Amino acid sequence: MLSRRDFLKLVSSLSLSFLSGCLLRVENPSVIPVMTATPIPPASGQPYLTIARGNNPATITRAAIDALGGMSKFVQAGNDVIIKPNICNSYNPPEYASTTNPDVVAELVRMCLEAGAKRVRVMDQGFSGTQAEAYKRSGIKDAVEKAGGQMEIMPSAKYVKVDFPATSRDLQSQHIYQDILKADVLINVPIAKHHGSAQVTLAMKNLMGVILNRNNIHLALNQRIADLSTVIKPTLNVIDAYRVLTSHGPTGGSLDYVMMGNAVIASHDPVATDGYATQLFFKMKPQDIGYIKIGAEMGLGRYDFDQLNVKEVSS
Amino acid sequence: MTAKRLRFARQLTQIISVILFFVLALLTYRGVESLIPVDLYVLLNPLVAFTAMIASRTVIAVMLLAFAAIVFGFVFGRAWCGWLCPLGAILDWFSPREWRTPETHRNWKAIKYVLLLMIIFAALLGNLSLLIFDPITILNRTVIAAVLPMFNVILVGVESALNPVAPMQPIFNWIEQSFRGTVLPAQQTFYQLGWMLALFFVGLIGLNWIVPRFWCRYLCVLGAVYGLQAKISWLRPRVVNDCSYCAVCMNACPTGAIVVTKDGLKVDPTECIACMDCVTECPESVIAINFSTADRRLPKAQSRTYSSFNLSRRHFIVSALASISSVALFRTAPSAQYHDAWLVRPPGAQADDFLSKCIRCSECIKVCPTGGLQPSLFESGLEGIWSPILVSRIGYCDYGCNACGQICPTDAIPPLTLEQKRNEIIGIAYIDRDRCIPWANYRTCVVCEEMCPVPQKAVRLEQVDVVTPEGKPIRLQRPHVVYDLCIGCGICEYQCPLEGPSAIRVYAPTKLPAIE
Repeated sequence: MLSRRDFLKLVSSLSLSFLSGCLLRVENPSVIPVMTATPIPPASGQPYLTIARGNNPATITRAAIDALGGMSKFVQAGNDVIIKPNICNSYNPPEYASTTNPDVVAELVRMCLEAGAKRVRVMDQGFSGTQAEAYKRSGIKDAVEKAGGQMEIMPSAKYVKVDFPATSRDLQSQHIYQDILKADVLINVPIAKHHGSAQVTLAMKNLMGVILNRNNIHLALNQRIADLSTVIKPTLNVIDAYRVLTSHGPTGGSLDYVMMGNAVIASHDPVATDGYATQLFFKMKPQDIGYIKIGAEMGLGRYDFDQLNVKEVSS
Repeated sequence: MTAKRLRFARQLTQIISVILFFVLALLTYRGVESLIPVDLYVLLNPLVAFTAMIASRTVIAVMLLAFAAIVFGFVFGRAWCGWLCPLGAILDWFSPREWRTPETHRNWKAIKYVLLLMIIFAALLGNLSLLIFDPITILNRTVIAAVLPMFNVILVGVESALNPVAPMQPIFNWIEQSFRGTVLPAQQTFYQLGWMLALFFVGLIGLNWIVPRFWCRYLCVLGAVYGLQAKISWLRPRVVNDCSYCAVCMNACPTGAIVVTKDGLKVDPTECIACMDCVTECPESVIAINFSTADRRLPKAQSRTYSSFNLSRRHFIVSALASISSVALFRTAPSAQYHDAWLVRPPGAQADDFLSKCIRCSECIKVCPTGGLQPSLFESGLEGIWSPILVSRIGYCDYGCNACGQICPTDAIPPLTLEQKRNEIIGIAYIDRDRCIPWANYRTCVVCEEMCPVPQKAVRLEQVDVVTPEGKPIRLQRPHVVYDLCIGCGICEYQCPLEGPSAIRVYAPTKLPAIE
């Protein structure tokens, strides 16, 4: 006969193992895509896109943002800010132009803090090596921590499944890092690079670093990059073109492939920043790049620069 | 110190040793700075140290540390087993609650010595396969390829499930930000047949139910090393008084080192692990475990020590024949005739002498940040079981990492600089055009080209205007591998978005015939 004690033991151990079984196969429910951060367009009279030229990456970063109306236009006091640079690999130091310039990122951190941000985190999920190692190798960890920001590792448990809106033509859903959706401000800071299949990688493509399964994007690369922008909408896009990787991207690995661009381009519109950088540094028209062309068609941004207020400053 | 206190000290030492073992295993990650070498337990293992040196015919400087263990053995006998061995401690903890099993399989005690002799003979022949039965490599392998990955699944599962619970988030955040990518694997690691290692380990523990410390008594080859030394060790059990033969000590002994014979009580130093249980339990203070030399002067007939095992010519002949025939048999495996296509070794590990240096300790497998290094099955035959191979679909060799060569205690994987490692040919990638998306399905992909870390790109794109089977003309990029540039790091294979096996796979390096 089963005693009461044994029965209770049996029931409790069975339910415990059932519960832990549930824990191990949990899938977070999909959420409606609401990003807290939202692009902030220019007020009347303010430039739509700015480009700052000069020899100091930090100074031109500041100049580009100031020309756009200053960081206080994008960051309010008490805001939780995430800066998303390109830290795609753990093997090239910044001179090889495969990862965003650390001084550009650090200057943005400083400007956010000056504007009263409560916290500024910097993160990117690269494709080679561990994040911790990539943060170090890129020089970004050092620079950011000195500037008062924090580097954040993006653990897989914190990606949530997001259903894409009807405006997305191909992508149905993706797992996106939860905090990217929740942050008050998202600043997208790619580096201008050549890319084998997409031809160039700039702001729109940089958003692949906040989703969990990036490789599927390549099966319809141009359309899917554009689709990402229907959900992930940075407050501000800042293209680091201080150094430009002109070939053998997105990884590079030789200084021969690196050109000094000495510029930073900023706008709330990723199609505009990408289009502008394409014609300036890669000798192509915006519409030559599949995802930029599709992005404009889908109404995600524009590159009709003769209609837009583009301001160039030097410092 | 009283015996009870000594026993308590031993139990405490065991706990500390097991904790230290796990801490060192967790600290085995790329770029770690640790005061204690993270492979301490391997370095202090005289069996793996000296057989690796014999088999590879080299002096491995760092492993000369194992001389300390040899000295230890001559002073303390098998005290290692009772006080320090982490596997022994775990076997102690997982024992039946009540056992009163006097020695029943006395002859089996010879097994471990025969195994030891076989390891030594095999090492002379350049083979180290049997080191998979060294207790430290067993524990290392089980912890690295089964326990820690299992722990990570549980941790991430709990974190995902409790992610919506706001008060838990700061705790998980702290864990992830502090330990992910260092102590915790950057991504979940996956090991071939981790469950088999776990079952083997559970089996070892299960043997305790046949007789306590079954493993240590009959099978442990490291215990055999210390057992041989215990024949002349300074610390040893001694019968210091006459007694009433209550046999409490005999039943208390976890290794069957005490027998009651017609001549009285006798103790076996080669089996005694200095656990102090007999000294504590004996009501008449008959047994002591100490450094006294008084009883050595006794004539042999009156000696109260005996040895359950004496090396005989037969043992030598049996183990030598077993070694020679096993090693010869290994050489009849297909892997000895031709190179297995998937036998991709860690960077710099030369196939011809690798198995004579690799002690199967699994340190490289733990340190590999992508989890690509795997304990192998039969890629190099039974001879190479559990030696490391790179399985690129599971994890690639990161272009910025040379950690495996830095950690390898025997330099089986040479300590290459990062620059050297980047030029080391690990394997060669080949594209399966019948499965590759642009080739077979006329769709864009070329993730492999994007990922290739070689500065000149070993995967290159060819732009072609083709007509699809449906008759639609399209412009497409197709990948090609440049044979002379590919280093076989495998990131292309790892990242290939195809389901199932990759359409680009890294094979063991081969030489193309020279062009005349």
